[in-house]
Amino acid sequence: MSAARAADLDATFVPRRVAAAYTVELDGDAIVLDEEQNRLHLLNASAAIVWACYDGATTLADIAHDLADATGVPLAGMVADVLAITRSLGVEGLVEDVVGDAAGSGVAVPEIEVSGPLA
Amino acid sequence: MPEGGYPVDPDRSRALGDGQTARVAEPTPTLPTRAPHSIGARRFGGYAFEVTADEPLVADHLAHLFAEFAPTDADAPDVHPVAVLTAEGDTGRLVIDGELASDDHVRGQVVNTLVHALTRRMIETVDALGLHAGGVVRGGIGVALPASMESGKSTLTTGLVRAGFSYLTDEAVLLDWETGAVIPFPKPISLDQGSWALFPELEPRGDLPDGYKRTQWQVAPTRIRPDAMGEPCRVRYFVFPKYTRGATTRLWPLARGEATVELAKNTFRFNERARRSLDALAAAARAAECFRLDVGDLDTAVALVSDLVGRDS
Repeated sequence: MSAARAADLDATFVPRRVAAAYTVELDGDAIVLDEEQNRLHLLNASAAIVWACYDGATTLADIAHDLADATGVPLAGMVADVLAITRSLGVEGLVEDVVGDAAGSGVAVPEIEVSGPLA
Repeated sequence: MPEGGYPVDPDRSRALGDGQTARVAEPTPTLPTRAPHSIGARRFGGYAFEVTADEPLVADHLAHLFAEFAPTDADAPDVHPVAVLTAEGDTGRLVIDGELASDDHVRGQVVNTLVHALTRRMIETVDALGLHAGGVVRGGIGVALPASMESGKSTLTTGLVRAGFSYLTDEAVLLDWETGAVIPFPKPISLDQGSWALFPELEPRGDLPDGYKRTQWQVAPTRIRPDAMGEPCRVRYFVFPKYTRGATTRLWPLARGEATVELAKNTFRFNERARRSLDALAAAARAAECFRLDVGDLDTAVALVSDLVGRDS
């Protein structure tokens, strides 16, 4: 399967996390470490829930349906939100089969040096 | 320790137990590995060192600066010889393991270089998660102050110790991988010129030449208070300080997720062991409350952190 552009995704897309993604959850937020790019991505609570639903088998439409049922949010709005979040995560290079943008907004962790002159 | 320190032994650092020779640059014949006045061997984590100097005054100054590191056997095979040479010429030379590590144009600046060189080596060899942060503790409640360079870590750390906190470090908060506890790292406090007016009592001793007080003061934490050293503790508060001249000093909460990303940005060697580091940072953040601190005025910043910790007392 050829990779899709994030903007071209629709509700029939079946999302799967990239293999290099390692996730830690904190107070409902999620931090995703892309071990291939050495970048960190901070996901707010909404994005963290959507991210947690990616299982490589469920379409975005079904994910939205389940979340709408669970939260009482109208389905149409939930589909739009799930799609928007997935496109953003795709741009960040975190979704398989979606073309990422090398200039994504993830945090590249710098090499920290001890203060002061080198010797 | 022999009277007058250890004899110069330029080959000692290069001899290995198996009779082979370490691959180090040949020292200049006139470059001693050791100098006559020793401060004794010290150890921290996986790094052992013995600093020697060729001037008694300098050796005495250095002995105070490194006094809080645990003494160790100077004859142990892993002790790195560190020579501070200031007696000849107008420069200060630092020789580590027989190699010229620096040659400072201002003699006294070699002390600054020495402090940072040893700090770097100790951080690299300790088996702990290292945060670029100041750290203090009061009543068993640890406060870590992670920040990039020039953010006022050392100044705030010093202010807090002066206000009654105990000192953990002004450079590297070291978290035990297993327990998450802070390992106190008693390096000298390095105060930049902008902070000197806030701590006039900490100016290096008067009999040292001006070169030892230019650009940066190195201060033994026990100069602030004889009992200034802190004990291992848990971090209860992560406070991210940022000094801005004229800023309104204020403290406000930071979500743990955002704080964890900030901690990662201030973690030594994060990318070498990213997953393990992220797990440890997240665990530390979960066990703590996190804040940002804009600092325009030191006394107000110290009061805000003191009040924060006081809530738990």
